[in-house]
Amino acid sequence: MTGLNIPADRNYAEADDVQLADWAKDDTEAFGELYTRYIKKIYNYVYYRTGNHHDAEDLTSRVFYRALAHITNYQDRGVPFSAWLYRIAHNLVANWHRDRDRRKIIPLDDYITSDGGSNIPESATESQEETEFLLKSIQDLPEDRQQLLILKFVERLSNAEIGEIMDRTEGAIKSLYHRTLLSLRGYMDQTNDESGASNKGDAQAESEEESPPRRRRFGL
Amino acid sequence: MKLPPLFNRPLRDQIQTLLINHADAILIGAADRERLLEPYDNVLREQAESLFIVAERINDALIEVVPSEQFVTQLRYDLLATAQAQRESWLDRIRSLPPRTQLAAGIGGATLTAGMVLIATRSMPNALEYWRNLRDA
Repeated sequence: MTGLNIPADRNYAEADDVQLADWAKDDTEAFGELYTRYIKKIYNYVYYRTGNHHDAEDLTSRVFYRALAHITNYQDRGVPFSAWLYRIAHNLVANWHRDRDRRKIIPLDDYITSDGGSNIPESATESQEETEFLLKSIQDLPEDRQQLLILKFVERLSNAEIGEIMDRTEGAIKSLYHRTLLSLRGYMDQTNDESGASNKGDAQAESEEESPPRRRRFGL
Repeated sequence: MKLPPLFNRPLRDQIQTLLINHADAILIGAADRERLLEPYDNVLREQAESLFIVAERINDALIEVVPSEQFVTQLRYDLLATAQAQRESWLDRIRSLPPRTQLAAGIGGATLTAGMVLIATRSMPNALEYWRNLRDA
C-alpha cells in the first residue's frame, strides 16, 4: 500500500523475493515489483501449457489476482516465492484443461507464426515442419512432462528449482526427464513410420528399443 | 578412460545424469556431445546420442515468448488498483466521505445503536407486549 506506515526508504529493486513477499502483505508497490519480476516467466509457462496468447493472457491475469488475494498467507518455509507462484499457475492451468475436458489441439500458427510479440530466432524456423510436430508432441505428453520441459527449456530453471516447484527430488526430476525424452523419441519414430497408435509408440520408446532407420526424418 | 557399463551404478542412473548434464549444457550454450560422452562406453553412447538430438530439438522449439506491452502494463495497473482498494480500511473509507455524509452516517449509526441497546435492556415479554401495543394502536 502506498500509504500509511510504509517506510519511504524501501529499496524494492534490490530486495529479494522473500522480503518483497513480506512487504507485499501491506505494500502495493512491493507486489508490483514481484509482478514485474515474474510476469514474463508466468506468461511463458501458461502460454506453452495453453498454446495461444488469448488464454495465456486470461490465465496469467488469474494467477496474479490469486497471488494478490493470498499473499498474506504466503510464508517463507524454504520454498521460493517463484515456486509458490508456479504452483498457482499450474493449478489454474490444470483446472482450465479440466474445464475444457479435452486436450486442446494447438493451432500451429499460434506457436510458430504468432504475431503476439514472439521473437523467433532464424535458427528455430530452419525446419518448421519438424518444430510444429515436436510442439504438438509435447502438447500430447502427460501434464508433468510438459511442465518439466517448459520449466527447463523455457524458464531455464535449475533442477533443484524444478524439484521445488514440482514437489519432487532432483533424482525424480532426472528420471522424469529421461522418460520424457524417450516418449518424444517414440513420437518421432512413430511419425517416421507413419503407422501405429500413439500409445504404442510411447511404449516402444520407453522400452528403449533402438530403431535407427526410422529416425531418418529427425536425424536421430 | 572409458567406464564399463554398470560401473558402480546402474546404466539407467548414468544415462539420466548424462542427459540432465547435457540439458544444462544446452542452456548455457556449451553442449559438446563428444566431450560429454567421452568417459562412457559404446552401449551408453548409443542410447544417449539420439536423446541428445531430441533435447536439442526441444530447446530450439521452446523459445521464449513475450507478452504484449499493453497487456503487461494494463494488468499491473489493474492489480495495483485492486490491491489499493482492498487495503483501504473501513475507517479510511469513512474518512474519505464528504463531511455531510459522515455526519449522516454518524447519526444513523448512533440511532441504530441506541435502538439495539433499548431492545436488549427490555425483557422479552415486555418487548413483545410493547410491539403488540404498537400493532394494536
